[in-house]
Amino acid sequence: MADHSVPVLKGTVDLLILRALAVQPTHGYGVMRWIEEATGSVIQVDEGSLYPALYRLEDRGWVSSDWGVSENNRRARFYRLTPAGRNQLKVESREFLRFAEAMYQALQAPTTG
Amino acid sequence: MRDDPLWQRYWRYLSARFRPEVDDELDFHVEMRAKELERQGFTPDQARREAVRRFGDRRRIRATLHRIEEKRGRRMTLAFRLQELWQDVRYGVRGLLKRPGFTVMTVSSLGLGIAAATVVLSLIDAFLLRPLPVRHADRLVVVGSSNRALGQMAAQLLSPPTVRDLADRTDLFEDAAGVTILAGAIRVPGAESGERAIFLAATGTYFSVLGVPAARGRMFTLADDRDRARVLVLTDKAWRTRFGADPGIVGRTVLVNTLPFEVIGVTPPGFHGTEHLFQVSGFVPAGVVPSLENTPVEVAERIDAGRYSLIARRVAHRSIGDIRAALTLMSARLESEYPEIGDGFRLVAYPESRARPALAAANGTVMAGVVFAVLALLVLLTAAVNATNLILSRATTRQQELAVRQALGASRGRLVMQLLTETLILALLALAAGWGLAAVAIGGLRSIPLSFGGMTMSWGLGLDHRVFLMAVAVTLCTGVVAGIGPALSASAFALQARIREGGRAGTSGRGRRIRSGLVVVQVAASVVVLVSAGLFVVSAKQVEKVDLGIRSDHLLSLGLDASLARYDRASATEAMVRIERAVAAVPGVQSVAWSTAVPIKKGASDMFEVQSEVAGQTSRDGTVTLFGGTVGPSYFETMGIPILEGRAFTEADDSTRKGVVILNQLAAERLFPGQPALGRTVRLSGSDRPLEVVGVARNGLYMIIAEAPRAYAYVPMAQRYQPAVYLTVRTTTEPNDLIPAVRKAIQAADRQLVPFDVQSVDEMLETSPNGMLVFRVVATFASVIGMVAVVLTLVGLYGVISYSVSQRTQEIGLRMALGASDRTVVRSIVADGARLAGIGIGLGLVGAILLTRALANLLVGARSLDGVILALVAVGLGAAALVSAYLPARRAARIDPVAAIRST
Repeated sequence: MADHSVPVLKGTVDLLILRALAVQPTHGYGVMRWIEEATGSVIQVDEGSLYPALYRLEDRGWVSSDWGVSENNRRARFYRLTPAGRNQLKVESREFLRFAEAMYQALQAPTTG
Repeated sequence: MRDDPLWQRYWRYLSARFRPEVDDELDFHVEMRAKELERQGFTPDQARREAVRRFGDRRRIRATLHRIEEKRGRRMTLAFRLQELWQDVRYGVRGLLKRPGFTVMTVSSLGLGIAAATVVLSLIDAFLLRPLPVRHADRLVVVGSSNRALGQMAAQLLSPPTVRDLADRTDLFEDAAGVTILAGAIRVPGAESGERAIFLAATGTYFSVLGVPAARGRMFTLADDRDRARVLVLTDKAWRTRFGADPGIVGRTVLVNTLPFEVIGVTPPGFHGTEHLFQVSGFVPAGVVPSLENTPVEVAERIDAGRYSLIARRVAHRSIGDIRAALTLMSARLESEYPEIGDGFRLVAYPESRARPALAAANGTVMAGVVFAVLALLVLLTAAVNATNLILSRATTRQQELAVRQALGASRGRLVMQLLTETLILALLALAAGWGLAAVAIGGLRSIPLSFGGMTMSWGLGLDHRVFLMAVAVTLCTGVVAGIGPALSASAFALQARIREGGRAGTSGRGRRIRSGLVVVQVAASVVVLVSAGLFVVSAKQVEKVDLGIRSDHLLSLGLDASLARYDRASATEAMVRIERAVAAVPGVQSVAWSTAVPIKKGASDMFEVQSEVAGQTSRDGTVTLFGGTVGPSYFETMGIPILEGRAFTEADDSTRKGVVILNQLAAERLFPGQPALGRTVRLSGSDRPLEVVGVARNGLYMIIAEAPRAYAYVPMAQRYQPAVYLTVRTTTEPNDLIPAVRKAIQAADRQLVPFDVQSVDEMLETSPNGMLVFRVVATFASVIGMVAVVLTLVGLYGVISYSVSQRTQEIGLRMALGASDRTVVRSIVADGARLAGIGIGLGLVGAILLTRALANLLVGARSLDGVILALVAVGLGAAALVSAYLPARRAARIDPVAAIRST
């Protein structure tokens, strides 16, 4: 992550959104559903963080949006990953995995000395 | 879909805030969630409530999103729009390249319109708009005067005392100066002979009125003027062309009309004084005019020695109306105080920009400007309508493409912008083409030689950045006008439906009605333009047939100025005798005559006030104004002016004999109404002895080719010396062929005098702005505009009918299959075209009649032909319209019914 002061949870949401959009362009609701399904509902992102995160990601140029027609013929705003976003996803995934691995190692370390 | 008004959507698009889009997005989210809850067993009502509940604090989320959006909007707008614009431009260019036919047609339509507008703009700019390169140009006022003889015309006729009187009116003018044109000669000491040059003689305040600083040295001042100091300020142009931009010019002595003058300064580049038609070489103080022209100061200072106009900077809170009111009172006082100032003397004032190119043209220029602006606008309208039609036709055929783009997520605003961008690209291409065309046209105009009273003039026309900016504005407006309609209507169709429907789109009644309406507008506009062009052409033809009162064929005329060679009266007279003899000996020369005036070239060299001897028959104070010229014995014979009564001058009418005068018919009639004039005496103002009337000459035209009859008096040259004279030569062969031989003869007879303005009289009549030139130029210009309008209109009509035929292929095929004959089909399609043309012609005739009322003042003798021209235009345009409808109709009749119906 570019900004280390960003709270972990928020960063996680961003990463999950990017990952969701790497599968296929979709609308906000689609992103939310994908995250629920992909994490077995362990991680639930509420609308109050999802949409601001989407808007900020777009602001940074990692996703772009356009109006299109949804699967049930409604007009919906579709988000897609930009090339920069795809790159960002790669970098962030790597960093997160290293972080998670490190956390795992740390948490798995013997507790008795 | 939202259905708020279009402008709101458009505004939102431009202001890039997306607020309602946020709501749309969140609504969609809630709706999706509700749908899913329904699937899990909730009733629709419960599902909706639950979805809303789970969504949380919608207002807070919305506020957050708006904040992000707005921040982003502000930051992104410019870059984002530019990027979009670039996309549109690339897309547009690709589209236009794919359809070269359409592109060429549209660009040439618009290009013609823009070229016409650009030429008119440059004329209007030069004559009405371009401010002088001086301080407070908007507050400059020009004051001249008029009198009964001049009628509505104003002229530079203020005398030095009147100029001082006016300049003292500090309640009206902050600063004021008198200025007059002075034709003279400039000579560098040591040079063999002088060169003709035009100076402005001005009172000492001239440069302070204008606020023009010296680029080098200094400008002359009140003190120079009062002391009658022989000082000269050169224009930047004269300094460069005549003195090779000599850096040491200030302080040098040059000869002006043989008198030594000290060059004291040079004006800034671009400043040529306040006279627009003349190429001015420099400025001298008004105080030196008497010595330059060898006139006694007392004569030059007389109240009726009028030759100046006043250029003044008005007091900021005094309007031109205030000034005119004050001047009316002042005129009345001057006239009662000095009866000799002239009958019906009145002071007239115009804002400087309304008094171009000369005070005399003050009213006409504005009028002509308005008329031509209207004509140009109409042509531009025709061009824009054509472009609109072409774009409309194209937009309809590409509805599928647009529908696909919209389905892929392009908003309507985006589509409109894209279509507009395309039109603007076309318009800019047209601007390039039109600008080039206009440059050629203006080059043509500028190459027409102009001369006036022996002084070369300049058109002052040019394509500069001001005209360019105006042309760009016109282009953009035209582009938007031509493009906005098609863009809106193309994007307005129910696009999603179109995709499914396939091919045959856009035959909606509305689209066709719009196109038909546009054609009607076009036809009407070109009727107006054509009728005006017709009137101008007829007017020019009438002018050519005007009886000048002389036989202008086989005449050669040239000027000589004895003052340029420092000749006194005796040596000048000797030189003239030598020259006359030498020229008369040239083979091909029939007769030779001297005069100080030549009709149209320099109409009169004098203006006399004459006391009529018949009381009660003339104007209030019993004076008659006569224009006049000084002529040699053979003048009447050489010019071909018939002497109706009495005799012409002879060699015997010299300074030793009694004074004689020849009047024209009108002068004789005015001075001696109902009585024979022969043998009577008249006293001309400025002449101390009574003159006997020895002859009456036929009336002619003197100053301008379209003037009212003037009273005119001829005085024998031997009895009244003037150094600047014209030599008129009647030839037996083509006069221009004799020019080299005549020049050689003059040079052999006198080495010092250099002929200027050597030209056949017929050629002079063509090139003088007082002759046929203006009428010709106007007529040519109007005809070209008219032709452009017609071509554009016919192309438009043809396009619309062709298009409608191509759209109705199936219908026509069906009708033919059901038994309609070729002829029926052709007739019905031609009838469609005829109906449009008919309505257009009708509307156009109404407009044309209104316009001709406005044109009446600018035309000569066209009035009686109004009806004929209207009829000709109506019939001609109608016929052309039928032909352009017939061509596509023929094509329709050849449709194969079976193929047409199958193509469904």
